[in-house]
Amino acid sequence: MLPPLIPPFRYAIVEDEVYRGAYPKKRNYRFLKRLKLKTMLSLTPDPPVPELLEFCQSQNIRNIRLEVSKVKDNVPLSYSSAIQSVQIIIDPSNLPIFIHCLDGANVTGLVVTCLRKLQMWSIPSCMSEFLRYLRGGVISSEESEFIEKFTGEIEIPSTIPHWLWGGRVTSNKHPRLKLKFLDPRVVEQSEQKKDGKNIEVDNKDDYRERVNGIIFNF
Amino acid sequence: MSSQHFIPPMVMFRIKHNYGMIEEDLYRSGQPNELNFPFLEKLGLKTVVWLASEEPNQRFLDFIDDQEIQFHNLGVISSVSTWDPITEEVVLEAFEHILNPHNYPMIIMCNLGRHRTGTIVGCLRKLQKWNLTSIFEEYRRYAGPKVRVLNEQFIELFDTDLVRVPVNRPKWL
Repeated sequence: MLPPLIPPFRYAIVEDEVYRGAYPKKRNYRFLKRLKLKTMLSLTPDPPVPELLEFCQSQNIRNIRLEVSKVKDNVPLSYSSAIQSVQIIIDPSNLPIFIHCLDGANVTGLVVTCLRKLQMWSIPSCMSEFLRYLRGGVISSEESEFIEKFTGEIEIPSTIPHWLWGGRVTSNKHPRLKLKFLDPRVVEQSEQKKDGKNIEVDNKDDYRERVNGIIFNF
Repeated sequence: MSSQHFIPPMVMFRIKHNYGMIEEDLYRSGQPNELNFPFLEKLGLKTVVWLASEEPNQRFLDFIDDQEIQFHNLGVISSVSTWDPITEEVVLEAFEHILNPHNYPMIIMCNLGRHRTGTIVGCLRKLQKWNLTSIFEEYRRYAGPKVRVLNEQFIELFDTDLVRVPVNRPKWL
């Protein structure tokens, strides 16, 4: 009988073909092989160990490393690294992707939170997911500030994964983030196609939106 | 974006606490409220497997009806006390639904999305041949400080040979 499969510590699936976890060890390689990864995003203070790079090479996985600081008492991730990470994740040509930091908690968690913001998750929803991966169950004030103040600017590729806005860009505005469209044609020109009936429906949506906004801000 | 007041172009999603993705098109969560419905709607669910001993609230039942979702209530055949782990019978019946890809996208739910759902997911990971520590790590992540050792024991002792795996099974297995 085969030995059990050992996923990386704090392993989880974020979205279809997007996975997260702690620094992969040799015992995790058999598990990782099955994910058929195309990209591994390493958010670490030091370059990946040779063993990990060899694994990536042997499996034809592109390893992208973004440096994060070692300091733990502040937020170790910079906005520019967070933006770069999100841009890598929403590019379908990089999927399937495995995102990891040292322990799979804070740094990876912050990147996922930024992704959730882009996916239109409300801040409390982002926070409750972030919290699930932390030791001690406490979000530091610096981290929550980081999450709330994250505004982009995020470059949106010409095609996006199906789990982002249903795979379609129907608006060039995001309520919380600045977006830049690499190909402006991806934005569906729904505005121009409106006939009377559609406008009525849209107004209803706006109404629902405002009600939700009130509940949310409250 | 300018500082002028604007109406958000899309719905901000409020996601149920303890919502998570188990595998592609297979999700878990606690009992949703109406604030979570716009998000749930986007998942395009075909099936809900319900494990809580209480019935879901009427608004959620209406949502299920409205979205033409198949609803399987397995909570009624559960244990003597709500503190006990769910029974083997419930897990095996849940697997009948979970292992049928025709039922996807599917969500597994109990009241808080911690214990009963967590136990089923634990058994599912065992079927996927995960090592036990990783299974418990995932269970604890959702259970938080309310970890129940008896549920972990249930997962440990669960005999995966009892599960009938169909020929046409989900691709994660």
